[in-house]
Amino acid sequence: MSALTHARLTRDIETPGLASLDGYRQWGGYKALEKGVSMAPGEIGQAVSESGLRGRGGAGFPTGRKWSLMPQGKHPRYIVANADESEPGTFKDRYLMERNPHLVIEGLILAARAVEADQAFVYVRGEYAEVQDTLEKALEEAHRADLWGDNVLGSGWGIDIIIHGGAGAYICGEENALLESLEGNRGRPRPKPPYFPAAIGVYDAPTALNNVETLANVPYIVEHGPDEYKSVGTERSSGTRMLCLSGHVNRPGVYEVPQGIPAMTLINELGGGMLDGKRLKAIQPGGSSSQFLTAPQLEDTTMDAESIQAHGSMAGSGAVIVISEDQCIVEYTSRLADFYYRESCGKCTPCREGSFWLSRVLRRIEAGGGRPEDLELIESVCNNIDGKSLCALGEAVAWPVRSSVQQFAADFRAHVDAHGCPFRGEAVNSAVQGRTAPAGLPSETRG
Amino acid sequence: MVNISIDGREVVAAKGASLLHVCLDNGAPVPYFCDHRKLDPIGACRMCVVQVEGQPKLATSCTITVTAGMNVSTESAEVLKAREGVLEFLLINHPLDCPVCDKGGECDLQDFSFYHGGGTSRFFEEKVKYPKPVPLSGRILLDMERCILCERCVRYFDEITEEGELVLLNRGVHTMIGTFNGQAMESAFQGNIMELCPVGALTSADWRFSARPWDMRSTPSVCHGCAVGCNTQVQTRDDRVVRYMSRENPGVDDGWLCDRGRYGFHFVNDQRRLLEPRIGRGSEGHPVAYGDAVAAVARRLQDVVRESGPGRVGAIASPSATNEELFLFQRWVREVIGTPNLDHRLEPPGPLPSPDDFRLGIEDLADCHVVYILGDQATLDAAPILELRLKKARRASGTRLVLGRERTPGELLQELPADTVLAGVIAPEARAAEARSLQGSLAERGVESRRLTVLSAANSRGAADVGCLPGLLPGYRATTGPAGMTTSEMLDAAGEGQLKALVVMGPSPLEAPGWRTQVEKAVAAVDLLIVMDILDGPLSQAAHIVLPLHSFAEKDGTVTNLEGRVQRLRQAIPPIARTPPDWRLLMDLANAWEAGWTYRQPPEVMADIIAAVPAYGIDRAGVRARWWDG
Repeated sequence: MSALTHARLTRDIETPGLASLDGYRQWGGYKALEKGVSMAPGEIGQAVSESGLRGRGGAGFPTGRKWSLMPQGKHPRYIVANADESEPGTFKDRYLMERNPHLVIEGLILAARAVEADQAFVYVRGEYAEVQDTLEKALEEAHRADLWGDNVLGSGWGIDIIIHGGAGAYICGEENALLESLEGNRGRPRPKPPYFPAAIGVYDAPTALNNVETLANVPYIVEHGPDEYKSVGTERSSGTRMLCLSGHVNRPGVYEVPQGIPAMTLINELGGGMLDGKRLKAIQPGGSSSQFLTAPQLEDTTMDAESIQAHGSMAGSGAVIVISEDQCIVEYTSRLADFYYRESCGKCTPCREGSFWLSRVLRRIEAGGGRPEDLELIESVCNNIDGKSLCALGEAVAWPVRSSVQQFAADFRAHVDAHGCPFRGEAVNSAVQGRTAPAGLPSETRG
Repeated sequence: MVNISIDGREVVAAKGASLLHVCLDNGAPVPYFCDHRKLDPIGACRMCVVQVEGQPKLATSCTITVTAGMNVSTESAEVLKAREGVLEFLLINHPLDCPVCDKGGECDLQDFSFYHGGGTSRFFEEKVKYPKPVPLSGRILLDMERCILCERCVRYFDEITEEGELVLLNRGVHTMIGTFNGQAMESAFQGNIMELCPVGALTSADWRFSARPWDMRSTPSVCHGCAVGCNTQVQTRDDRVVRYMSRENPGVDDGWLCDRGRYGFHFVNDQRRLLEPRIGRGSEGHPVAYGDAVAAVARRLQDVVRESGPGRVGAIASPSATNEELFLFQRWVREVIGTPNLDHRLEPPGPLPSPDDFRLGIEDLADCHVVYILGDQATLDAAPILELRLKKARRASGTRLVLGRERTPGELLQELPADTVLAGVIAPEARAAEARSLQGSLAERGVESRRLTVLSAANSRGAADVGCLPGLLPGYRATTGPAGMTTSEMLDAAGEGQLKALVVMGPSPLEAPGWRTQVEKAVAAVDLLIVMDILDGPLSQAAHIVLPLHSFAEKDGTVTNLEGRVQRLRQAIPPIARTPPDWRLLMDLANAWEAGWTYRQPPEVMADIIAAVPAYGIDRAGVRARWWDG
C-alpha cells in the first residue's frame, strides 16, 4: 500500500483468515459493537451525523440525515444493506464482503441499533453467489458468538439478520426496486413521492437502506469517534472512499483513499498510469451513469463530490473508468446505451422507450448509418428522459449519453461523415452489429 | 377540505385526494393513461405530469396527494413539452394500426396525440414487433405491439377481481402482458379490461370489426342477464345491438359488467326470433294477423272458463318481463280471466317472499362486518357482480366473507367477528328457510342481520312486488278467495288433466332442466296452451296460439333488481316482431274481453303500480323500492 491510500476499511485486507471471526477479532473487529451496545441508539446516530458520512452507493446522501427521516416510534422498522452492486465499473462492495465480511456485518448491526430496526436484511445481487456463501458463513459464526440474534452480547437488545439474493437486475440496486424485489415482487421502483424508504419502505414500514461500504464505515466512527473520522477527506466529503479504478490503466483495482485526492494522482500514481503509455481521453468518475470528464478537465479535478460536480459530473459509486485515446468513444457510448436499454425495468415510458431509442440510434451510427441530425436527436431524447422518468435509471442513461455526444461531438460527426468508424479498420466495422442505413435513403424525418 | 390553486384558479379539494382527479374535476383536463379512478396509482406512463410550485422537477399528478396551499400549473411550457415527449416515446414502438384497429374513435392515445402531441415522428429505427393478435381467452385478444404498458389490465385482476389473471413478462421495452403458463383467462369479468385498455391492445373477440364507435348509437339501459340489473349502454349499429358497455352506477355495478351479461344480448338478433302471431300446433302452425290472434286467445280462454270454470286456467308469468307488463298480466289473469293460479317462479316453491328477504342493499355490503353467503359459489354465479362488490367491501371495510359450505348456524356463528354490529346474509330463494334460521341465531346473539336474496331472473323481484304470486296481490297483500297454484302445481295439474288451459309468458323458463318431464306431460295433456315468447322453441312449437314478445332492447319500461331498485329499460332498436309493444298486447288481450282498460303509455301503468305498491313511488327505510332513473 502506498502512502497515498488510507486504509481504514481495507487495512490488512489481504490477511489470510480475515473473513473468519477469529481473524476479524485479531484485526480488532467487534470492539465497536461492544461499545455500541451500551450506547443509546440516538448516540450512534449522532456520531454518524457528526462524522459527515455520506452514502457510498451513488447518491451521496448524508447517512445520519437519512436515518433521521424515519418517523420516530413507528414499528415495525427495518434496515437493509444494499449489496446489489451493479453499477458498471463498481466492485468495492464485493471486495469488502469477500475479504472482510465481518466488517460489513458489524456495521449493519450497529446501524440497526442506531435506527432501532426490528429486522435487518442484506440484499445481495444474484450474481454474487460466492459472496452470499461467504456472508452466510460469517453470519453463522457471528450468531454463535451472540454478536447478533435475540441477545446481542448480553445487552438484552436483539436484531435478526436475513440474506436475500437478487435475480439479476441492475434496477434492483435502486432503493424502491430493491424493496419490491425483497418483498417477492418484480423489481420495479415505486414513485417518489410518496415512497421514500425512510417513511414507506419494506412492507410499507420505515426503512433505512444503506450501501455496504457506507455501513462498513460505521464501526470506525463508533470506535474512534466522528472527529477522528473527519480528520481525512474534505470538509463536505469526509473520511475515505474505496475507489474502483478500471479501464486502460496499468494497475486497476480497489484503492481506499482520503476523499479529495487529485484525480491524476489516482490514475498515474496509484493506477500506474495509462496502459501502453497511451494518452488519456476521458474518464467516467462515478460509474457508467456519470458524465465524462476529459483530460483537460481532470487536471484540476479532485476525487470528492464537490470538485467532480463543479466539473460537470458526479462522484456516483466511486467507480473510475479510464478511457484511452485508442477507444472509439462512439462504440463505448453505444455499449453503454445497450446496457441501460436491456436493464430498464420498463415501467415508465421515457426510460423504457427512450433507452431503446438511444441504443438503436447509437448502433446505427456505429455501423455507419448515422445522419447529421442524429446528434441533435440524441440530445433531445436525453432531455426528454432527464427529469421525466420514474427513477434515476432515466438520468443514468441520459446524462452519460448526452455528455458523450456533447463533449465528443467531433468523433460522432466523423462517424456520420465516414459512414463508419474512422478509428478502426473495415473488418471491425463489418463485424459491428446494428442497422446500416441503405444507401441513398433521404435523411429527412418521417412524417 | 383545503384550498389549492390550479392554473391560477382557486379550487377547494379534499385533503389527501389525488391531484390528478382534483384537476380533472375542476376544469383542468390533464391527460393520463395508467391512472384509473378505481385502481391505485402507479405513476408509470408519466403523461399526467404537472408543475407543482416549489418542486424542482415535474411531478406525476396521479401520485401527488393534495395539501393546503398547493400551487399547480397544468399548462406551463415545460408541462406541454413533457406531454409531447411522452407521446413521442409512446408512438415510437406503436404500430400505425388506426385504420384496422377496433379502438379507433374511442382511443385515448389517438385523442391525446391529437390534443397534446407533436405531430410528426423522428423515429428512424425498426419498431419492436410481436405476433398479433394473440388470444388471452376466447373473449379477449391481445395485440402487444399496441400496448403502452399502462398495466391497467394487470392491476384490475389484482385489485378488483383479485384473480391475478394477467402478469407482466420480461423486462424493459420487451415487457409483455401474459397469463400464467400461456393458459386462457378464466375470469367471469374479462370484458371489463377491454373497456379499461386505453388503446387497442385488448380487444373484444365478440365485437371485433363490428362497428366504428361513431357509427354506433348508445342507449342507456339495464342488463337483462340476472337480478342485479347492472347499468349498461346498449350500443347499436343500423338497428342491431352490437355491444354493451358499462354505465357506472355506484349503488349497483360500480362501473363493471360480468361477461355473461356483457355478451348476453345476441339472442336479440337470433334467427329463432318469433316475428308474428301463430295459430296451430307443430306442423299445423300458420301465421295469423295480430288482431285475429288476440281475438282467438280471448275466445278460446272464454270457452274454457265457461265450460270448466276460471280455476281451470293456469298462468305462468315471465320473471324477465317489465314491471308494467307483469302488472298488466297479473290484472288480466286475476281480474279478467278470473283465475287465482298465477306464479312466476321457476324453482321448487319455497316460502312466499316477504320484505325481510330484501333488507340488505348492495351498497350496504360494505357496512357489514361479516357477510354469510349460503349456497357458496353457485349463489354468486347467479348474480356475478356481487362477487366484485363483496371483494370491494372486504378491501375497503375489512368485511369478512364466509361461505356457508352446508354448515349449521351454530357452526357459522363461530366465524362471527367479535365486534360485529351488522351481519349480512346472501342466499338464493331456495335457501330462504336456511337463511332465516341463521338470522334467528344471529338475533339470539344480539347481532343485527339483514338479508339479500339472490333471485333468478332480471325482474323476479318486480314480478313478486306486483303480485305475480299465488295468493299475493301487488304489494304482498293477501288475496281473498282461493290461494291459487304455484308453477309446479300448475304443471302437475295440467299433466293430470285438472288444468284445462295454460298461459305461459316467456322468455320461457320452462326450458330449464329438471322440469322437463313435468312440462312435457303438461303440454301433452292440456287442452289449450297459449305461449307468449321472444324465441321460438319446443314450448312455443307445442302451443295452440303463439304471440311474439319483444326483447328488452326493443322496449321501454322498468325492472326491479334484487335489492328493490327500480330501473329504466330504454328502447334501443325498433321492434323486430310485427306486434305492438308487449304492454299494449296485454291491454289488447284484456280489452278483447271487454276489460275497458285505457292506458296510453307505460308511465300510466306505473302510476297504477305505485297506487298498489307505494314503495315504488317513494324511498322508505327498510324497503328499498326506489325509483331510479339512471
